[in-house]
Amino acid sequence: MALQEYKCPSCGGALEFDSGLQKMKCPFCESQYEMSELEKLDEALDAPQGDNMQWDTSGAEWQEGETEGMRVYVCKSCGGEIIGDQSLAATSCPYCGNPIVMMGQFSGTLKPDYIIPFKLDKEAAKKGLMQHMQGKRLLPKIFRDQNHIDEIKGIYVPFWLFTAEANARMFYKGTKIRTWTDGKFSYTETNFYDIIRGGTLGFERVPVDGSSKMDDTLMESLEPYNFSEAVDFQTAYLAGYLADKYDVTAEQSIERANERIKRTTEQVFAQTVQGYNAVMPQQSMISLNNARASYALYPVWLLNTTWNGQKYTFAMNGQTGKFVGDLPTDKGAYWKWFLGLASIVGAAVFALSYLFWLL
Amino acid sequence: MKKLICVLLALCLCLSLAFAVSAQEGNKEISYEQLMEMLSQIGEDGSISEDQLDQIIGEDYNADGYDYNQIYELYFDENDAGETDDINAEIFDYGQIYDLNAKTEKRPFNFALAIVISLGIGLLVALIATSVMSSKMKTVHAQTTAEKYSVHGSLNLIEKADAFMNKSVDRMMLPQNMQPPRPNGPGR
Repeated sequence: MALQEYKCPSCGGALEFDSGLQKMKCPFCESQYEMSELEKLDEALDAPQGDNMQWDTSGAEWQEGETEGMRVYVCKSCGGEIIGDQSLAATSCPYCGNPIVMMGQFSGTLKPDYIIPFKLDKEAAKKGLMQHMQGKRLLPKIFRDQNHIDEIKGIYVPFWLFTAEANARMFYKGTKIRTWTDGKFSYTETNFYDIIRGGTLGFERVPVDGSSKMDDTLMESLEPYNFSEAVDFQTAYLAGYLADKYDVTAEQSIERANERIKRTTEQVFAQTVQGYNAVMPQQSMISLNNARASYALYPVWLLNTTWNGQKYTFAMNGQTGKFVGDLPTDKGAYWKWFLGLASIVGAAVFALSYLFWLL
Repeated sequence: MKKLICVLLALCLCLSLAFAVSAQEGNKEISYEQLMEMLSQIGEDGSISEDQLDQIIGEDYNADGYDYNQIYELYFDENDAGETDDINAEIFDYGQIYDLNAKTEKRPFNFALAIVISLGIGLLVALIATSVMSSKMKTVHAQTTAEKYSVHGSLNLIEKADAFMNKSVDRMMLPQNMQPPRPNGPGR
């Protein structure tokens, strides 16, 4: 049978019932307690004893098809598990740092035709960012001073290269204007012409970004690459860098390549129409001869930084060192420059005009 | 969009400057109707008083020291006789050559106009300069053409036809009738 002892909540001494007071009283500290209070204490003591530190470890179940885009790889150096998406082709082990290439990603028809190896290293990318910020008068000073790069990644980005001969037939309306006078009247003669130009123009390796993870505009800003330095693809070039295989197919990239080829063809043929006062394009018909696409990996350094809660991504061409990335604008600095320049130039013009008046 | 705003602002600025300048120059311009009204003050015989002439030209016509009445009579009377060379020589004998060693009265400096124009030029220069600075902050641009990838010398122009279709001729009368008639001469 369990023994129950009432202890004084104040001093821990054993309580006794004081019949005169009809209360429990501590003989040590003279504290008095109502019986109703001790009933509550009894209930608390009767409650189950011990810690209750339970965890819900059931977690959420993977939905159907949710794991389809994931791949698990095991590092051959340390045995660590690396989880990546299905387009991950090269990375480094997060546990031991060893470079890893997923060989299966470049087998069969997925094998790139060419690769332009990295010519510039991570230090060059850091230096590039510093140079990129130089001379930018509207850049917030605090961005430059406190700027720390969150991440620098050397990535081989998949590109589709489109080569074709554009066969074009262009139609224009042109006008030639001649004016003369006979003393009483001025005459304007407008001659109208129908103009046709036809021919071919060759294009070589127009690049289109084959990775959906990369911002297309950012990648196009890094152009051009010097293709003469491209070599046949070998997986050894990927060691130490990240690499993705394409997840945008050549068929999906055709539209973008066609847009660029069409615009350039129209511009080049329009330049052959000369001797007119005005030329209006009417219609263009462009077909492609010997059109083919090849697959290449181009080197890109990506730098991420965060400022004021906003993420800024910069990119550097890993071959030529061309650096791009939009910078934040300090609106205060903008207005200081605007008003300062307006005041200085205005005052100078005023002073000069007054000086000229005096002379 | 920003470039468009810049261009519009610059345009507004130029227009305001043009207005400011034209407002200054406005006093010198005479419309055709005003001119006709002024010329109507000339008598039927072609005579006009000195006061009327001063009113038309906006200043004392005789302020340069020449006696135009004498010059006119001399010129037209003797010109009929074909003695133009002598006339020209005689004309210069009348009065004093007014711009020799003479100090023309300097117009007062228009501070208001100068400030407006200076401020306008300052704002325009500042706008252009800050627009250039802003454009340097944006380096990410999509490529719209494949010019860098066209093979040099690969343009093969096979078809080249320029067919004349028609022509139109517009005729406009030259503004000869708009020229004001030559005045017959002052004081007659």
